[in-house]
Order: sequence, then C-alpha cells, then structure tokens
Amino acid sequence: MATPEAGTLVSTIDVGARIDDITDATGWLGTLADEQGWPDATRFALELSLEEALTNVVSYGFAGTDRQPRIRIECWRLPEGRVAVRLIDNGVPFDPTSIAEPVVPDSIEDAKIGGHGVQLMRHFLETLDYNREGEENRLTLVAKPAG
Amino acid sequence: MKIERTPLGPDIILVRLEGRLDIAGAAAVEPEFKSSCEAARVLVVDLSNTPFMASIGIRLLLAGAKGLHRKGGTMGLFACDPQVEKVLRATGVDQLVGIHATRDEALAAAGVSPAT
Repeated sequence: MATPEAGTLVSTIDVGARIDDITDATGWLGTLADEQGWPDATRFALELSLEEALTNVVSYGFAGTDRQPRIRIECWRLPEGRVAVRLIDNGVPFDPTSIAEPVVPDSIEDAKIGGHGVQLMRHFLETLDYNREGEENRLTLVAKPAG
Repeated sequence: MKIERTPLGPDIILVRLEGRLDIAGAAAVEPEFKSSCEAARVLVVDLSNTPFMASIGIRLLLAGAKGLHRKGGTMGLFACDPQVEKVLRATGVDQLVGIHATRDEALAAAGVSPAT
C-alpha cells in the first residue's frame, strides 16, 4: 500500500472547523491540481474525498467538546503517478473505514437519503487508510494512478 | 451555485443547476430546489453545468425524488458530466432516478411529449 512517507510533500494547509473552511480546502486542492497538471479523474477523486472527509470532521469531530480545532491537510506526490492527501485533526476519534457500505434499496421509498460519503470515498480512491495517533485522527486518501 | 427554474407545463418543471454541488452549493440551491419538487409532478434536472457533486448533492436529489414519488410524480436527470454520473452510479441513485442523455429523453421517460 502506498504511504505518504514514500513520496514528496507538495503542500500543506491549516483550516478551521467551519463550513466555509471546506470550500477553502477544496479550492486549495484545485489550485494544486492545476499547478501539478493532475488528470481530471485524479482531481475529481481527491476533491470529492477531501470534501466528504472534511465534512465529517467539521460536522462531528468537535461536537460536544471544548477542544480548539486543529485541522491540517497535506498533499503528497507518490511514485507511479499517485497522489495522496492526508487529513490530520484533533477531533474525537472517528474511523470512516469502519463504516459499513449502505445497501442499495429496491425502491425510492426505501432509499436512505444520507450516508453516502464514505461509499464515495471507497469508490473513487485506491486506498482509504485511517489511524489514531495520540490525540489525532489521520486519514490518508490515495487516488488511483492516472491512465 | 445557481438554480434556474422553468415551467414547461402545468406541473412540469425544468430545473437547471449551475456550479459545484458541494456543501456550500447545496445550501445555496436547497430552498428553491425543494419548492420546485413540491410544485412539480414531473421534474427534470439539467446537470450539464454541474461539474462536481458530493454526497450532500445525492441527499438533495434523493430527498426531492422521494417527495415526488410519494405524490405519484417522478424526477429525471439529464446531461450529466461523466464524473458526476460516476457519483450517481456509485451511490445507486441510477437505480432510483432516471439518468438520461437529453431533456427530451428525460421528459419522454416521464410520459411527457417532448414538444411540451
């Protein structure tokens, strides 16, 4: 499995835990995609996955705590055309990789309207890897190689 | 994100979504999208200018489609960006809401004459 440490750190950004910070973070990633000339599929997969992961952190990571949010996002260039984004936050422990896949319903009446974020990350990424280190959640998103 | 609503008949509405259907975009268009679903029996959604859709967008579409289905109505999507179509298929939305190439096909699938 590709790990960020096997690559080169391209850029980092520190963001807050407000909805507007999600837009800032995906904008930062979009600028990197332009600068680095990522293929459309890589850009889409990482923007989508960062949006989903950060939405979870902003919505649930600090609820019910008086902790000052610290959220750092790193972008790594990996061998063989892969790109990784790592999200590090000091929110409550949350492992998105433990979330079960939603069942595709038979009818629109049975359909659940939410719960599709982790499903999308799994679909669009090559690797979705979580670990808890000390007081921090570390979620690594690796896009599939181009081509 | 912008939303443009065009009546095509007594209870047939065309909605055009323009921009990124992310958490900020969904918040911007939700009130108008919801009221369009409430007013329509047939709602066709033009996604030709929606280059990005996150799970919040899936939530918006499914909530609207459920409301329409409950009153015997229907929703159809058309002219999806290829990456957005992957999002719709990965989440199984394509099993619940029709995805069509053109507006006329979306209307025909809802039993509406394209000439409307």
